[in-house]
Amino acid sequence: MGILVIGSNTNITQPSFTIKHTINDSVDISVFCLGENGKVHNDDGMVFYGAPKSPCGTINIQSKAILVDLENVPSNIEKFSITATVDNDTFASQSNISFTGPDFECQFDTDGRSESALILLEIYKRNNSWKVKFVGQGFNGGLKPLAEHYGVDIADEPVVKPSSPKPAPVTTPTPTVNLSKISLTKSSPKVDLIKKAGSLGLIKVNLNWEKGKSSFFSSGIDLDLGAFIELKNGDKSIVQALGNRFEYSPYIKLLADDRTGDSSNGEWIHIDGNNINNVKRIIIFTFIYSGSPNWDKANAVVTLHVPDMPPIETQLNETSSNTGFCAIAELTVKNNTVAVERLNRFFKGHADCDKAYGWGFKWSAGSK
Amino acid sequence: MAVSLQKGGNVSLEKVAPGMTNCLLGLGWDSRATDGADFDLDASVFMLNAEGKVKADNGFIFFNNLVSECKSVEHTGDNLTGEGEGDDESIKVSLKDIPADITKIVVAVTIHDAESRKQNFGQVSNAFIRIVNASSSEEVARYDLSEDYSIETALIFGELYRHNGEWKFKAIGQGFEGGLAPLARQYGVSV
Repeated sequence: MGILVIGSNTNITQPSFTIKHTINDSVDISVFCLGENGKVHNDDGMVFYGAPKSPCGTINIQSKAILVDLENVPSNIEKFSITATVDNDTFASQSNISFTGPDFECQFDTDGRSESALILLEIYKRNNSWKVKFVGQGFNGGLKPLAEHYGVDIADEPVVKPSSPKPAPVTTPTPTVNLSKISLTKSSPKVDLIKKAGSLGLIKVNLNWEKGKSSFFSSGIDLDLGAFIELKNGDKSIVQALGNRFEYSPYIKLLADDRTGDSSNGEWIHIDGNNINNVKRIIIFTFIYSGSPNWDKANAVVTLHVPDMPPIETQLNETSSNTGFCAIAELTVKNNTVAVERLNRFFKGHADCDKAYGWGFKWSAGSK
Repeated sequence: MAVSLQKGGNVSLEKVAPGMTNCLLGLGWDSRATDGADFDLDASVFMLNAEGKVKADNGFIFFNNLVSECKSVEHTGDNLTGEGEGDDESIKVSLKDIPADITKIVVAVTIHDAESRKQNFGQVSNAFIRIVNASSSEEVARYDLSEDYSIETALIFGELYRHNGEWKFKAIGQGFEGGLAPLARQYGVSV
């Protein structure tokens, strides 16, 4: 049994063992299964409370213990990184943490630690045998920089733990209604337009986003606004800049294409509210024409301006990574009423969204 | 193809790089990915005689004395973070200009402020020392230290030494207590 200090390592002599620890239950333990490059192969490589067993069966996170079985580790996994994160706090407020395994013992002194995410132990392959290392380094920014360090993209919003012992937040993060605007959110996704269909006037749909810091490595993001329209007679069409399909007269029209988000205006779609009685439904969507699918940084907001009504806005904030297409909102016309519903559903592309909402088009790649 | 050395291994420079007169001792490590004080590694060189001592204090080449009196050894300067690809610190050595009574050139690396920053070599990733032929930029020998150290804050990475009239390089990877000052004293430098 070796006592490890931060930075030191020792050989593991048993293929299957238990690491006991004293980490408080309010602290989230995650284990990253890493390839040779120090990154996960895919999102399955992150083992955490939502998925406490690694797909390869090597890691099983339990309360107060981590079960490790090194018998059948896939050949493309070189390292398991055992980490811990605290929400909105630092490890300085936690008690000292100790780990005990068959071959090692170590104690992490939390005094003065500014990190919210810590890499505590690494179990890694070295010359075809397994070793354990006491790392004791981490990130002040918590889970996000930690996960990114290992190649996992996570959304800005923390995943809500179903059986969390922590008290629920007292205030709701997004107000459902503010003084001048109607906000469509996950909890209140729908609004009926007050005027009767057919006398709505010009409905203007705006998409605006932040171009983002154009740095040496990343140029800005180019979002395109588009819409699917289906008439009551069954005719269907798409308006979007891609393929130069700017208008489906007299119902819907896409105005100029903003390539950067620099324009304070963003992109606009006009819907003729006076002809809307012939319309069955319209789905407003956006997709990333260029730039990486980093919706979090784009801060995209879609606003519907209906005459004599407060603007109706919805933010694309429940994002999902690596998807370049978002169905934002659906307008449905029924019994002389137009209902606007927030969708906020992410897809890989047009074809996926088409499938989900039954548009029935054939899709092929194009550019503008 | 460079020779990869294990701890304690040695190689004849004449064999791996025939006719090499100027070489570069390159040292590198990964900059810190996690939050906290940077890893500032400092390379130092001791030019030793047959007794294992420096002839004078200026036989100790480090960040405050970058060039040896004989000009055969030159430290190219201090990298404070380990950022960037390749060598983080390098030392130019003109083999033919090394005075005849110098039999050994020891390269040591210390972690700056290790004690107050609570750092050791076990926390530093991918540290290495390599020898590059200055005229062809070709790497001729390399020693990756990764697993050979853990709690040390000062390490002798390797040494160039004369053996039967030729220069050899040996991978040492040996830690020493207390940082740069006691090591310098051991080699006869007044600090």
